[in-house]
Amino acid sequence: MKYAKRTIHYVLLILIALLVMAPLLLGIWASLLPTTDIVAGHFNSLNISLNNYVAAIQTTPVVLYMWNSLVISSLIMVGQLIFCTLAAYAFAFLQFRFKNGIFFAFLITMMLPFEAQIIPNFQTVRALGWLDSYPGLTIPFFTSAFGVFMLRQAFLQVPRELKEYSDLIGLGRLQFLTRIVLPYTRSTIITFVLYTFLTHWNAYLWPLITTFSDAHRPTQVGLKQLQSEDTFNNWGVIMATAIMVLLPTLLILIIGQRYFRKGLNAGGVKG
Amino acid sequence: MAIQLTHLTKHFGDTPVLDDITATINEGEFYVLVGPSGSGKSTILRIIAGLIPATSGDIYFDDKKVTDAAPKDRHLAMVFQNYALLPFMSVAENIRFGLHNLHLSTADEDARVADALQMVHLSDLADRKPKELSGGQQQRVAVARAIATQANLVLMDEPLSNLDAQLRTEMREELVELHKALKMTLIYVTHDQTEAMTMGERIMVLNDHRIQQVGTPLELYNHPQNAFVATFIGSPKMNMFTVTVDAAAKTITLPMVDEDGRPALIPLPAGIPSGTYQLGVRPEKVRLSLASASEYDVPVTVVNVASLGRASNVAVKNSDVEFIADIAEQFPEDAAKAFVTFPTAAADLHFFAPDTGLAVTSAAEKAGVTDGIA
Repeated sequence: MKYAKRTIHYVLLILIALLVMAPLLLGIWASLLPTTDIVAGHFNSLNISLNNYVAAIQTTPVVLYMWNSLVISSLIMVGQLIFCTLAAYAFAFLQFRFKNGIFFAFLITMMLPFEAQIIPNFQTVRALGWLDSYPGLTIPFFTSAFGVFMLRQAFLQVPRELKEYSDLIGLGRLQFLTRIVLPYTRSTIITFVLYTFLTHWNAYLWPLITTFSDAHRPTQVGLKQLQSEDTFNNWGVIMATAIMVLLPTLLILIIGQRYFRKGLNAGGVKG
Repeated sequence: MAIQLTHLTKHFGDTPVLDDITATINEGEFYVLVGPSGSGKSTILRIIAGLIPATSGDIYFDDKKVTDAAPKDRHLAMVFQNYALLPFMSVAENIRFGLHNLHLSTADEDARVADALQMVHLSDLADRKPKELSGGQQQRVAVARAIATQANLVLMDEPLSNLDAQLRTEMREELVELHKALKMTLIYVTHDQTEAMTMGERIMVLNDHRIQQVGTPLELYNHPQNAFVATFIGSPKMNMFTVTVDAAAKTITLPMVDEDGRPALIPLPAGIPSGTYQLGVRPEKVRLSLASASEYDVPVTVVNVASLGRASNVAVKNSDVEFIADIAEQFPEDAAKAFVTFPTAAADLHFFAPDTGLAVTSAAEKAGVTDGIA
């Protein structure tokens, strides 16, 4: 009886997993097939090879795109870690005038859709001469209201006595932050950092309008670029690049899922 | 290190927290601050630690004024109610981290950590994370972290209140022994009068932001200076009655009736002027018998018998006045009626002014005559 129930559960889980993963599996399969087979619809072809990947690396700038994305996402990740942490520290531990009002103003910006901010941001970045450059792609994202909010919630869980203890043993504010608060809220921090990295690895709209050359173009925009080039409809190669772009996301999700679960809960549930 | 507090006051905005606290804590003393929640005892501790500033008043450590010194410059250690251990560090790392400010050599740090762990019997658990320990073990780590600093002053803020009853009794003894071995000045905050009585060499009783009384456990118990201390110290609580004293007739009229329905009287010891008072009588000074033996015995109905085996706490009642007799023997649990004999010795009858609650002491008690061995 018990085993029957468990078997049914697993069968259902596997079916649903297959359903959800079908596009991904199909994509991986297609990336191994020659374009002629894909175009002809011969998906049952066994003519598989890594030729598409070799071609993608040799004939398209996908490696450059991935490098750009890596640089951009990493810079934003570090930037947000620094600025969101400091802002969250202020909101969680310091007492100052209008604290709640300022925090509320932070939160309001979360309700403003990014699309609505694009034009003023574009004008600012253009005025600074940062179009089609790393600063233009990263600095506007060095802080985020969501990040400040998430970290503040986590910091508020740090017992008041730990602050008192760190005062007693002579830790300064920065030491308290780096040696006690950050390790204490480790799972939220890791979640936040990985989440930030993924968000910007997958960024599309902002890089689309602020990059004009391959030199700084990140992956998502680059992929789209490959498809829209008239002469280029080599679907095998496109699928191979898409899978390559996808890999870091999958990797981070698999490594980080333990923290994602803990970290996102930590913000919402007290204790 | 001796600690002196002079006229400390503290307000949070308009809310008074402490009012004119003056006290001296002797070198090496186990000093307990006790009071109900909100009485300001934890605030005093945090002001001594320098974690929060006093609104006015000064603090001296051995004649040195430290009122404005930073916490780290006061060279003291503190044990918190929730232990305040760092969950991401092992037991040994937690203790070592507390030495951070002392700039010791690694060998010295190792020795201190090992010694401290040995004193709290946790040497085997040095590499565990706090989460892997029981509440009692975590509290012992917190204590080890404090004693490893070898600070002359250790502050403890309700360190045992998160533990279960049995563990609390064990830890009480361990802390007292630790204090005897290390002889540091120890200031201990608790809301539990039993803890205060069993551990403290001297106790400060706080209520309503003020010092109610400072004294040794027996001074507080035998000579409470006001009705608050009288009822706060001791378990079961001191019985309180509103009585009328007739100095000429040498009688106290209780708010009860005798067997004939007349107001119950008991004899008055010398030295109390006529008037209305709050009379406090310790439950163990109330004698209880099944038959009347004296004209001053008061008939009562038995409300409840709590048998402890070696003793009984019997709740009794006369004219809607319910009180407790704590008798050192077993009492029939089915008894319905009994007779109460109130004490007659001056030391056992505590008179308090009905308006101020201050003790009104008889001449005999002022002279220090008590029934006890002390």
